[in-house]
Amino acid sequence: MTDDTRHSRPGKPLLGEVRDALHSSAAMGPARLELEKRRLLARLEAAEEVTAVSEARNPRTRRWLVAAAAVLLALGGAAMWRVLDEGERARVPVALAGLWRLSEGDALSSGSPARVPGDRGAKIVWPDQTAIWLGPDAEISLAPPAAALVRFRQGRLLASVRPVERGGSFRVSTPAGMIVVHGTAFSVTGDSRRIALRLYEGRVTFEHAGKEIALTPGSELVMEHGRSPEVRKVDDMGVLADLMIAERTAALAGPPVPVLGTRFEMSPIDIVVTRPAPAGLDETPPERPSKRRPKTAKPGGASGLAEAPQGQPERDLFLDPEIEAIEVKAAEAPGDEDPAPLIEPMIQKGRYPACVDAADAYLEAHPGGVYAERVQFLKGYCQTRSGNLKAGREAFETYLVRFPEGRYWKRVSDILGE
Amino acid sequence: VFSSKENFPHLPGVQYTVRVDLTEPVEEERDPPAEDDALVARLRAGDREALGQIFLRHANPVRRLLVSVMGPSDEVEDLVQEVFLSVHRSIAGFRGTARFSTWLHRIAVNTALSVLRRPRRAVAVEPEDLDRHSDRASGVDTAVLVRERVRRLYAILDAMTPKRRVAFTLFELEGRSIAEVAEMTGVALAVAKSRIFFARRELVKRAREDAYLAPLLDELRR
Repeated sequence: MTDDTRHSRPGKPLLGEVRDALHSSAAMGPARLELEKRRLLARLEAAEEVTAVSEARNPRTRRWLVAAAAVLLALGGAAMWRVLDEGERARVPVALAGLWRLSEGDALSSGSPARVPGDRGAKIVWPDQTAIWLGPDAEISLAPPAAALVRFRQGRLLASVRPVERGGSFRVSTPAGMIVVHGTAFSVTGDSRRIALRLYEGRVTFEHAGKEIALTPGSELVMEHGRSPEVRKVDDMGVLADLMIAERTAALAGPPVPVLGTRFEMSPIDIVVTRPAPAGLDETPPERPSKRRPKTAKPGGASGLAEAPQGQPERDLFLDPEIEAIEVKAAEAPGDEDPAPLIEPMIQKGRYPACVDAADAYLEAHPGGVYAERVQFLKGYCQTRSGNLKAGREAFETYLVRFPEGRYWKRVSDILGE
Repeated sequence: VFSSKENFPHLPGVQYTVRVDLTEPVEEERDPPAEDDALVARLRAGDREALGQIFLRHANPVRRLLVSVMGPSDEVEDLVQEVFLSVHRSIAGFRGTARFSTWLHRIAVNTALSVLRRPRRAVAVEPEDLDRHSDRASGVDTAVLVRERVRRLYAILDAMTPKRRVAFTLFELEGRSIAEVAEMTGVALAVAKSRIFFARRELVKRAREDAYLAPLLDELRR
């Protein structure tokens, strides 16, 4: 050092001892210096890369970043963060106060928020095989020590946590409160306005405003800004969405996706069923069917139409020209019968592969059938529920392409995280 | 080792005996500021490796300074890196009116201050058993005694305002002059002096209650 003017203050031996004790191991040897130098240069390089990403808003650099993103996308559909070693402290330049966008092989940040790119998923695996899966645009940060605290900010996070000792050492903080994990599978979705916590297995407690809410498997806690916490049955659509996050990262190393929602009763699927118009529609005004039909509906039995109050024309669905067109088309396709009475009992009994077969049979026989939209949706649902996530994704993607105006379009988009 | 008598230019007529230990390299000769200037120029030109060279030259003094200010802490490793990353970010603002090392140490002090200003968990220091203390103080295990003294000293410093803490540690533990403390913290001489004074007073008050620190009282009052 060029101006090292340190010296012991005369007549202060005890403070000198303190100083010597402090500095006894302060100096780094040449090997250590070299190592730290490399680390510094690596951090500098990483900082410059992230700075480049943060400049995405600059139109001059956006074009390059779009090209880079396309390359990344071509390389794979998911990002995997480096698996932490036991006791490893994740490091990221503290100087990066902004968002840290991770790509494959990046080290986890400690404290700095990390965001999964909008077209990707991510998976983080701890040494004990505890794993979390993150959906597109999910934003989290990890807090030391040993990154046992995950700060969830937004998006969708699915976790499979190994049983931990009494008292729990794995926590997920959310904008609404703290999730204390006791060894379990659960998911959390939402943002600063709404948080939904779904518990699949084991036990978690949710700490909010000084109170503790314990969840049982199959229950879902919804916290909305300005409203009281609400606990209810797990929503079936939410399960699909959770499974789809895992599907995005299925190709990555680490523990498999946990089996979700097989040991408890879920809230029923909200399926909108339309009744095909009777033959001779051009001569007789169509009657108005009910929007919903009970899941227990028997083939050819009670329908929304039969349950409608007497004397009231049921036309609201038919006011939609698209639906009317479909109904007319259906009337032109003899043999196009609603497969729902066949498929729904299968779903209720958990016979998902059989449900997929039935859906395939219908779609093959009536690719443009009036029920094709709903059957395509059910096919995706059953594929996903049977554990064939890739096929489920494909079925849902087919749905989005074929039925851009479909009734389940938004739901399917949510499920796929589009 | 050799000795020679020298006239100090700022103290005409006064002779001092200067001892030079030749077994260790003299920092001034090994690291002439001119080399710093060349590295700074390279760094300004975008040469990343220059930062690596600057790190190799200055990391140890910066680390010592940070250890003095922060105390025994796991954070020091990362802070050293932060200091040099700050150097990289701010090198365009280095005008060269002061020596590079002075500027660098000022960055180190500011980095430490920014960390100390964050909310920190207070470290509980248990009341000490005087009998145990007297056993240790008798020299049975001096190393343990000193380590414990360090721990307790920094527990008190943790409760102090960051500015006073920095001024005190730079002066008493880093051995800087008041003028240097003032320069490194960017305050007037009188302000640096008063910070050291109040830090000492606070320490003396707290150290009276602590058996391990009581022996320091005399030194702190001076």
